[in-house]
Amino acid sequence: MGAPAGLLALLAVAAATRVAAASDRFVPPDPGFVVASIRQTQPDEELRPLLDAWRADRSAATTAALANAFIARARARREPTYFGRAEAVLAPLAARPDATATLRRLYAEVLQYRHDFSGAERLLDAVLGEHAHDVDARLMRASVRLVRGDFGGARADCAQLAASGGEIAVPGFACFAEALAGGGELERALALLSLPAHPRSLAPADGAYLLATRAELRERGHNFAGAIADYREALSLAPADDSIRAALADTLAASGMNDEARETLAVDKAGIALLVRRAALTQGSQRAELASRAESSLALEAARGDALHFREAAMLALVNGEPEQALAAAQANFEIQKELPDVRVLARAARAAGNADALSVLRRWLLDTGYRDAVTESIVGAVSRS
Amino acid sequence: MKSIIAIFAFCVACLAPQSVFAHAASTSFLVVQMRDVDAPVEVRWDLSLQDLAWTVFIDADYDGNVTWQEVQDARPAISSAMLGQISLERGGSPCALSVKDFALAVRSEQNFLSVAMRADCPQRGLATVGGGLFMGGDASQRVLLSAVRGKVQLTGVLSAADPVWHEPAQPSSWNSFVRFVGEGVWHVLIGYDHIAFVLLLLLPSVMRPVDGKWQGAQGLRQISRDLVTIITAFTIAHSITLALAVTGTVKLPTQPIEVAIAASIAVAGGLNLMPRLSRLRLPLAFGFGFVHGFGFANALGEIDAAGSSLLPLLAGFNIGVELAQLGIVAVVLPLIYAMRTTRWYANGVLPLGSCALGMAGLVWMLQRV
Repeated sequence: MGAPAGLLALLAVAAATRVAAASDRFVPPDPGFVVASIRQTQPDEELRPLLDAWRADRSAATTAALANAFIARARARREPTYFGRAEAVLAPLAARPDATATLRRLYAEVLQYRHDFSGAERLLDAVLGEHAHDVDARLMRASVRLVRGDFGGARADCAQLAASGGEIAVPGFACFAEALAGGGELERALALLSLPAHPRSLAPADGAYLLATRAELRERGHNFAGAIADYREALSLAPADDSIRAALADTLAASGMNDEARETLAVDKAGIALLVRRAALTQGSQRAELASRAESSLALEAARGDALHFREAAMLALVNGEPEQALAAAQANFEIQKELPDVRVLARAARAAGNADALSVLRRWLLDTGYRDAVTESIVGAVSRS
Repeated sequence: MKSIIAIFAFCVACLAPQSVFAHAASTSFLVVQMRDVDAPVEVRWDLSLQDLAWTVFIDADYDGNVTWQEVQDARPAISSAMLGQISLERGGSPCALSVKDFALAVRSEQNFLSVAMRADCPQRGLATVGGGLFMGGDASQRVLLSAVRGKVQLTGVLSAADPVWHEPAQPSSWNSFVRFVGEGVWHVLIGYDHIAFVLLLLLPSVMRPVDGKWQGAQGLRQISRDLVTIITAFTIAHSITLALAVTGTVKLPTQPIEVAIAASIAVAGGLNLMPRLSRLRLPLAFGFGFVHGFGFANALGEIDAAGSSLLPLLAGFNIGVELAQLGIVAVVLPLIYAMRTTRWYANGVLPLGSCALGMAGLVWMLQRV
């Protein structure tokens, strides 16, 4: 039985061989055959002047403006190539010792997208070391720390944000609750999120974040009905947010509401996270087709050497009845990120693989951090806390 | 849930680490065929038009859709751009690249432009592929390279940080053989379950069943003949399945094989406790040998064998396994031969050892189910 890294490296080599192999070529008989739509990936009216300005003068200001526009498009259009373009323009300047806080923050955002959380945190540490009042950098660092399971560090950042007043206090408040819950104070976190104001009175993004945070905490406390209600409302405020959609589907499925979960996941251009969940909730040939599409995407990612979807790779391996592969991917993923789905997929994979050591390590992590989740604890067994 | 922060419109700190995208990150595919040392190198480069359109003006009617006619019209510009973005050397000398034809290929559920090229190389030798490869404007761009050298397939990933691929030197058959002999020995020595099975075959080999009880066998010749027969049966069986699995003739999932290997240990342990059934040791060794062969194949699959020819690889690994088995026999046999006539071997070492190993097999089997 190889170590996770070894098994993943082996799978990556296999994926590279499979993905890089030639596929059939063809020549379309119709000259009017549309080969590709390039509308979403080409510079638009807003981007062109930014590109021209940057080409004429590659200063910190023009670079930041262009990178910011690239990142905004990457998110709005779901086109990862724009992250690559942002990185290409940022890298030469952001690495310099005199780089501005904005450039470094933007670069940290690209690193975060690439799941280089330690690199992003180092960069944000440097920014905050020089500009302690940079609330955007602090919010980003809090987020990175939460993802990495550094609940104590996140708590300090979130507390400062919550106390700072202004718009940033809203996400600061939510992230403070999340940090509390991560550190074992689930009830206190839930009490904090007994919102005095209705989330719909906030900006949609703020309301969605607060609701989704409360939903996750409720879910971890085994209040599935409350979690589903919150996730549904959050999704109505942020319908394009796949992480809320996936979380809602997971909770519906955990409550035995598989039909509703499938409906929730049925969106156009579903990414790997939604595809894998749909495969898990589907039977027969449709499952095979969904799993195959997800496998292709994961194989391409593995061949490229990216580490963006180890979580989904673990989920898919579980769907396919490959517990050893699932555990290897879940352990590799847990090295990188420790959000609720990461904790749960590791527990499920360890249980499926019958790996007592992996279960023990996870149980130890739950004990050490105080992290509580009813579903995880039901999988790994009793976690006695003094 | 942290990703939800990402959608805050007011904040440049969009925090969506695990965002999911329906489109794949920018990736192009390079297939390099080196059929013969003297023949021109065939190159095929499959590239997304969405990436290419950042460098070459293709969408002549500005409607956001690229038609096959527009690709044909832009062919000179595309060819020039692509030839300017790739370099190929062989034996340290640059090759002359020319475009042969344009076609399409489906990659990642999208139509990619597939450009066939020919490289005329003045020298023989190892190939090097590099160039800009359209990676300058997009740090996430990757080029997945698949090279075919004779019957050997090689792969590589080129990125802005690592933009050159060097063809690895082909290891000689002898070097491959020697390396895989070592790998075979090493696999047995670190494979506790395989050692357990061999020990279970060895323990009763110095005994004979008499009236339903084990008694020390007389004569080294008889013991050796019996042992050689059993070990040979085991070796033949696992060599067959190892070859079948490594050549891809038979493919079995890992988990049932691992379970069956553990089961073989449990069964062998149990059998050693029943002298009356000792005649089953030979068919057991032969039958479970097939299962262990698949286990060896799984282990062999975890070793990076890029560039190695199949025959020296297979022969080396198999011989390594046999050498390790013989090593175990050489260490254990003199000890148990010396102890065979003692009561505590017949009543202690053999039954208790078999029982302990058999129980271990049972536990491993349950863990692997």
